[in-house]
Amino acid sequence: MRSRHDVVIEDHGSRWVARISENIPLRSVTHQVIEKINEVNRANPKAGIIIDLKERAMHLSAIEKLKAEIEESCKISVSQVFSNTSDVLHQRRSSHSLAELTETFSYDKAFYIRSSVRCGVVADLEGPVVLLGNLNAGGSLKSTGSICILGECSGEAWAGSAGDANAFLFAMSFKPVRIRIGDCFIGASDVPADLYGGPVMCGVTGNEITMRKHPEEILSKGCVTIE
Amino acid sequence: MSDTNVEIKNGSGDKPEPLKSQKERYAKVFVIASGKGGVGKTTISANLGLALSLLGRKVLLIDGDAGLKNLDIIMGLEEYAVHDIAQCISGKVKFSAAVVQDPRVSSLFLISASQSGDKTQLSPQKMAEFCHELMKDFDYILIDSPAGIENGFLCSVAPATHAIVVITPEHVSLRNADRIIGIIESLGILRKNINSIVNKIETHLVKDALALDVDEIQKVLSVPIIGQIPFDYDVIASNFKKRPVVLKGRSLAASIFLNIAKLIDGEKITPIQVKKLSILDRFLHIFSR
Repeated sequence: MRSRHDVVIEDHGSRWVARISENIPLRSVTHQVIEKINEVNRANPKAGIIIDLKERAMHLSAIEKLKAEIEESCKISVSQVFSNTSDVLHQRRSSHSLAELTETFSYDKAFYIRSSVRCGVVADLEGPVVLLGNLNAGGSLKSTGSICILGECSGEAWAGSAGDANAFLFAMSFKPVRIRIGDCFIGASDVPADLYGGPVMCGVTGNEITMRKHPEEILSKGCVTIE
Repeated sequence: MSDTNVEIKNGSGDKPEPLKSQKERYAKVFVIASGKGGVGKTTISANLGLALSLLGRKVLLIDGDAGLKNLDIIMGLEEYAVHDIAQCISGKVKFSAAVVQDPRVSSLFLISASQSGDKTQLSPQKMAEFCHELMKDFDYILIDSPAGIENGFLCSVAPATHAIVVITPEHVSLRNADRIIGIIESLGILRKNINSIVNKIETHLVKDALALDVDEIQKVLSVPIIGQIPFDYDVIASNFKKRPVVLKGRSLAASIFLNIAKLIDGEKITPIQVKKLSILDRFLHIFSR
């Protein structure tokens, strides 16, 4: 049954946040979201919108289609999508320097993955990525930008997958099977015992991946950018 | 399907609260899956089916493991299972001829899989249609999925509205379960309808860090654990005797299966946690029944 709470549009200053209930049938999601956005945006136009798919699992192609149709029909830019799956939108590529980390990591443009990347899932993305869940063993998270994992990193992560050695990787709990940054990689046996399981920042120095325990700079910036 | 209207005789003897009126009945379809073989899917399917029917619910157990049927054997109903689900779906036999009513608990029914066919004889679409027709006649339909992620598994998941992922406390099982949950989600079962059961827990191995802790499993899977079943000789003995442990009554595993069944049935109780069970608790569980 359709409810008026199926699509909730929240006003967050310069942009809208659309929270889409999982109760809406997949075939009518686009129609209902566009209808609701038009309703609020006509009265009070804003430049951008964040889409929150909540618990709904959608494929990459469906998310891309939804984003394109919203942008076209509502004349509004979809700046972020919170996805429940690892199938996520392509973002503009940007490079980061480990030294300028806190300034250059674009939380605003990052793609946020709400759930865990499960075993067997290969998420191949562009741009900065914030994973709010875990990267489980057997799962693979790959991005041309930097990667920030706020849960446990037990799988395989590859930051700067297009060869960007300035990309970095941060994990709140560092237990990886394999880490790659640019063209360098390390395996689980290369992780020092004192860093294993703790919050770790990885970057490339020379031709090697360096790891250090240093969570404060990430945490102090705050990773969730919905105002 | 009209020929499924078998009269419910209450298994437990007490009149249960009806789930819904007869007209509104619409079964919850559970798939019991794992990915890895040997974790106890069939044992759990059999015992949960029995436990739910002991609560007075009308339950249909479906063996989804075409070509390698086990459920009727564990249930001790092999001699009654003349026809199988493939014959039923293809229209060769009527549902009423293929379904077996458990002589011990009259609200429990079983359709077995074929022993001679293979996993390709069913299709997800046909299985979904078949179960959909039966939903109005039962309170619960439990489908025992085969191991793996091939056609047999897809056929078992296709009609399901809920899933129970069975896992043993070891790395391989955890990883397979994690993969299975991802696939189940992508096949359309909502995450809130996915639960897990940790089976064959040996507390001394967990204490020695030789087996995974339940909390660790929960953290990785991110789905509720509705049951923790310890390694129990009673379960092995019951399987060997083809008489599910729930019927034995005085057993910790039986208490846990009943606890899980009550949780599934919507009762607001706490799942029994194996690591919190002292020796005294184990005795109390046995004698409180």
